[in-house]
Amino acid sequence: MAVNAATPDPERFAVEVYGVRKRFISREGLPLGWGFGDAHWIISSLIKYRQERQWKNAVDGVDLTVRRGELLGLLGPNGAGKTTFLRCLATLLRLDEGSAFVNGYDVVRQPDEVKLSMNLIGSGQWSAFDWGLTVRQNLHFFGTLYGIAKAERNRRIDETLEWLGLTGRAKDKPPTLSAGERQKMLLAKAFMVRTPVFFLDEPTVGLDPDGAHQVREFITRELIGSGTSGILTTHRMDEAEDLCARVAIMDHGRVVAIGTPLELKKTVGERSILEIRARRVPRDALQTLRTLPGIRTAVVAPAGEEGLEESVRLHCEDLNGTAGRVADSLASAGIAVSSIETTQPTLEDVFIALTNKRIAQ
Amino acid sequence: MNVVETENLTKIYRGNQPDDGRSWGDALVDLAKRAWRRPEEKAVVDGVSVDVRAGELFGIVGSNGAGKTTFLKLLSCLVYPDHGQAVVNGYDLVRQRSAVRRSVVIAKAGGWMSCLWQLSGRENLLFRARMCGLSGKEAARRADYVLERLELEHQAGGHSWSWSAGELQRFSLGLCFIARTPLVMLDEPTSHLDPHVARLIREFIREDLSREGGQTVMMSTHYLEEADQLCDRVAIFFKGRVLACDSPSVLRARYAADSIPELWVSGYRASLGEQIRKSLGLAEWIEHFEDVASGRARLRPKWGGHPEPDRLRSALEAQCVTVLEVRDVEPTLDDVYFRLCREKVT
Amino acid sequence: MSIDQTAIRPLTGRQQQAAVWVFIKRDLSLLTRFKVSYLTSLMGTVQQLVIYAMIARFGLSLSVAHGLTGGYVDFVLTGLALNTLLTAALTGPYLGLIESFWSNRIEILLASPLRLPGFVIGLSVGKLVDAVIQVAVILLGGWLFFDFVWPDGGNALVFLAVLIPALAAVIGLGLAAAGMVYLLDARGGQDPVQFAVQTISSLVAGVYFPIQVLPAAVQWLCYLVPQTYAIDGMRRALFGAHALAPPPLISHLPGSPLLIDVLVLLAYAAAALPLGWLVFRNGMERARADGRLSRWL
Repeated sequence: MAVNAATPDPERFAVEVYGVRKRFISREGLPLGWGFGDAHWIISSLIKYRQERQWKNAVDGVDLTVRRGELLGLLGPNGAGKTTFLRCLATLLRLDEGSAFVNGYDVVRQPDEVKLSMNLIGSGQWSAFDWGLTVRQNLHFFGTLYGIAKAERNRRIDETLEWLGLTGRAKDKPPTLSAGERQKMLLAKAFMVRTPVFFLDEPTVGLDPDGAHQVREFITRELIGSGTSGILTTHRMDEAEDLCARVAIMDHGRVVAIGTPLELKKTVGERSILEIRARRVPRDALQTLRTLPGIRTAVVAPAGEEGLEESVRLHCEDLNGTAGRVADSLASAGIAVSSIETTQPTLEDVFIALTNKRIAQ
Repeated sequence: MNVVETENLTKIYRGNQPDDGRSWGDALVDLAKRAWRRPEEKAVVDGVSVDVRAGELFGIVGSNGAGKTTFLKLLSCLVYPDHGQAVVNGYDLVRQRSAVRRSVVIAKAGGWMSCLWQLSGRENLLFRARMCGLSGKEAARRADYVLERLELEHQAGGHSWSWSAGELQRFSLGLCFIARTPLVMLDEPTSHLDPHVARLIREFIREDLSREGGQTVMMSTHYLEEADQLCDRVAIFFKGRVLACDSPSVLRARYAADSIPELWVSGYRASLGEQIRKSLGLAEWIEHFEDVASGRARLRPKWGGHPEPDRLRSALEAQCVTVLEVRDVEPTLDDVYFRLCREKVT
Repeated sequence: MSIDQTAIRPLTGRQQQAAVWVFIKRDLSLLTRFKVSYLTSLMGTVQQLVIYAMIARFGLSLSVAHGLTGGYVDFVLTGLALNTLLTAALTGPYLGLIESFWSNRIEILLASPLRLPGFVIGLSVGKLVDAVIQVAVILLGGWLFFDFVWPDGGNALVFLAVLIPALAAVIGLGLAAAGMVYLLDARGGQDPVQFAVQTISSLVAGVYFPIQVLPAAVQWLCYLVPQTYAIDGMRRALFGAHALAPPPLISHLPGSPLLIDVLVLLAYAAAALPLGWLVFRNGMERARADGRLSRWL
């Protein structure tokens, strides 16, 4: 049951989320696409409904607010619930608990106003574009859905295509566009309709450096520059640092940390990262390092060419004596170490420290 | 010993791809239209001549549409070249196609359809191993090794429709590893993945495929730091041509400045960037915010030639931005790529 | 680029209309994208037309349809035309929903300010547009080449009084079928209810032959499907209320057979449309709660 905890404050906050939970029934595998008429399917699904259902919390009690004019970054491993969370805010999924307000409108009670206030851009949407229509015709279609009159639509489409550098491709059909251009097409569809709030679900995934840079520039210039607010999901730490004033890290459906990148780095501790440079650190030596007391985790960046050094970053709980222990362990393994020193944590270190787990659940 | 030698390899695409659902009647109409007005030909891979040495990790970087995927497809015989020749694993690409196909394995980007959905994860690995001629015990041993190494044990019994992107990608990598072919081609192996999984995959590629396995790996990516870190040699693709092909350190030495000034500033705003850039005539400008609220940022100017920190400093100070520190940093592959491609464009 | 907070008011009626119109335009352009294929598929309709027109030339005397000046041609072509329309309305929502499900179009459509009725209309209108073109081919072709006689005694108002409830009833059934997709998480394949209704209706609705011809043991089926009443009523609306002999059961009832048809259709529509809408909306809410709205969600 949705509990209306607070009244929204649209002046200050673009998005407010209080205690949102979303459960999914964990579904064991019937393969997709079984037709209606399959007797086997009907019987087994009836049995499935009779059995006890397992619940899984995809979004498990999230509280956050996005200030006006701010772009909040949402980081987290795959399966952390970021996409589910954004879709809850976009009224595509029903909240099981909690309340959320987008642009001051309740997501549960005022979905129409919410839909007018926000735009969701996700990479799964590109197939929603008609492959038989040109990019321009597709954009006209979506513009009409948002109630934009024809003359205004034409103007906005021209403008948006020019900003994104897609003018040359306006008369082509979506399957002929490259991955980067497709992503830009999705952005064009969203930016044509100028809503106060944007939800960007990994907008630069699959883009080459040039394309990613263009998209980022577009976001900085047009979005942040004009005072719109939004939430950006990404895997790339440099992107999060560049674009977002504040960053929230999500894991297993919960927000484990939220703050500016500087604040987050301070939580890890200015001096708790050891960086080792060595010729070659074989896998068993790494395993031994990981099991040393005082070491939370070890992360290696392998070197490409022979003669260059690999760098291993160790997250330590406590630096006292750790450096010594590490040096001993490596020496006994016969590894020539060129340097061991403490370094500044990066956002990626913060990410690893907070979501420290083996990937296998 | 060269595992791959290509000479002037070219693939040309003519006109738009046909749409789904086109009947042969419409195909005739399209053909007539094409005869009337010849569509533009585009060379997706244009006269590429590269060599890949045995046992090396060869990186292919470039923008989307630069021809990376098509190049890999050419070498694995999924697409036939229009001009040029190549020798892969000692077999001629044009005349000994089936031998080439047997000796390479290619992993598509995203790993979507690499696994059969009817079989579980472990069964998929076993199936591929047995298809490659391994005995039952050896196949089981390899499959278990892959599962343990890629941290996929919990999904060994599951089917591919319930896997996440990271698991799909890892399974398709595992299948490549099991195949044990002399040449392995990976198309954007870490593109959609979060940092944990991406790191695991990079370690796997470096350690198991390249170093311990001794297989030659050709990897296409558009993460330049990844190419910088992992690859022995890198080929930079741009619009179908190879602009440069050498190890990262040589590329850096040859194409980028010796060092690049990096300025740490405070009070900087994103909107100032455009103005300053234009007033100084810079081609590009990278901002890296430490703290958006206070405007503390790291600025890296990008242009070919020798940068002048003093002009930069005065331009910034004219905009009331305090320059805290000027550091010299080593160029990265990003700078190399930028320099080569911008020169090509302008 | 500045944001306009005043733009946050729900779409006006005019804007909703424009949205539906744009769906129609989109479906038209998709239909005619491959012109040769589309013409070839229209040939199927022409083939049907020719077959029945030729059969009419056997000199069939339709004692049942004594009021139809054109004879069997009039009888069958009107039946075909209306059946095409009704079938399209029946299968439209289901097919549109399945297509949107697999292409993830649903995500964008539902996140846009389009309201649910507009959404449903937009999904189903494609098939209807196609059907209208086919109806035009049948009637025009019949009139031009096969002695189809345009009804002059017909009353447009009465015709609409038959057509609209018929469409409403059939769309209600179609919506229920589409709702089942979400309720039972079926993602494709042949919908059994629609299949049954379609097959039965093509056999017993009086499309190709009058109901009286069917063996008496099966005739009770005719009275179950709304298409029977729709096609019968439409022929009476076009050619006169007593142009045909009434179906056996109805002849026992007092009053004009046309009136009875209209009343039955209205009752059907009153039952099927709200029920179908409920099933559909319920299914969508379920899917929204479970996260099954589209293939990717």
